[in-house]
Amino acid sequence: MKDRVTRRLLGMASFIGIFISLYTVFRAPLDKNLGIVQKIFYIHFPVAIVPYFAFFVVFVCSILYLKTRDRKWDKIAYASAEIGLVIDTALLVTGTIFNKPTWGVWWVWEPRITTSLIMWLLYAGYLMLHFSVGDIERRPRLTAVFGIVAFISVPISFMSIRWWRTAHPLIFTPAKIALGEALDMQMWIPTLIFLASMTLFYVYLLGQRVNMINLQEEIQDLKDEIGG
Amino acid sequence: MKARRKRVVITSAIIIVFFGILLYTTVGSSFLYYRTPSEVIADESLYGKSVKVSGKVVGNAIEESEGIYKFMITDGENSVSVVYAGVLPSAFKKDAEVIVEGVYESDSGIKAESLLAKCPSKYTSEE
Repeated sequence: MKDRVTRRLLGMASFIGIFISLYTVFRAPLDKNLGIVQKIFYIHFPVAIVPYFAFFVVFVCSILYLKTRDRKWDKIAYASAEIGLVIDTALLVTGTIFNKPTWGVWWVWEPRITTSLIMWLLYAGYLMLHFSVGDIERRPRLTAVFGIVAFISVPISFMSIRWWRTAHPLIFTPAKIALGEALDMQMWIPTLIFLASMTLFYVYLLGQRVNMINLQEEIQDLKDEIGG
Repeated sequence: MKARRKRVVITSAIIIVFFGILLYTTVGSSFLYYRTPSEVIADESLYGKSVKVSGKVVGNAIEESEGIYKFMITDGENSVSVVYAGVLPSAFKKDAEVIVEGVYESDSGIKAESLLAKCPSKYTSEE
């Protein structure tokens, strides 16, 4: 009962947060070089960070599952991978839309985009593995191993613009942030509010999804009991 | 049980090798996505080869005749000339960072087949 109230509140908070974010995005000043196109950044940035976080949750929960063999961790890991992949799809889509007016092309095989696509494919593979193993006893162990191995793509994607020469711009470095050279003060407001709301939204979806998996299992148990 | 484990290990190995190759071939050997004008000028073995070079468009040196653009790109120390026949992205202007790809010829510079504008790595308001 308490869980349900928490989930409701989380849901409301994240929806209100996203509406406020959209409002602040259009209140923020226009970019000097890119103009209105730069607004894509405000959505592109949170949908980039949240999947990294979601896949990190997959990584940690997979380790915890292998250590404790508690099904709870397997459920959280799976739910997080699923939500992370959906948000990550939004990242690739917004990135593609952003590329065309700024770089002049929809897609280039440069390091940041390539590593991010590989990350997307790996987590799509994670879901495929989940669906292809019918044996419920064996599945959590296999997906946990995959969830740990696939995580290698996350730091590679994150560091690609820092390690290698890329077409993708590097906006946030500690030095630039300290000097105030990354974003204008008024551009920080929508950026941070949007990041916070998107994170809340992820936590809300994660709670809902895990609850759904639990209910599905309960129904299955009841069905088995009556010999369905 | 043992055979099963073997299969899992082999499958994971194949996946990792596959993605490794994909990364290697798309990003290119030694992970150099592009070169700087100085690197291109210093390396004579690049004559006649396809290269990717990034630099700032030198202002006041953009010529255009019948859809063919001639300009210079620089890294602040050295510059190379570029010939490009194609559509320029709207971000292309004086001092903009671009990445061009094409055959490097010793006399006329780079005959670019593609041109990519890099957006500035800083967002700032108009005033």
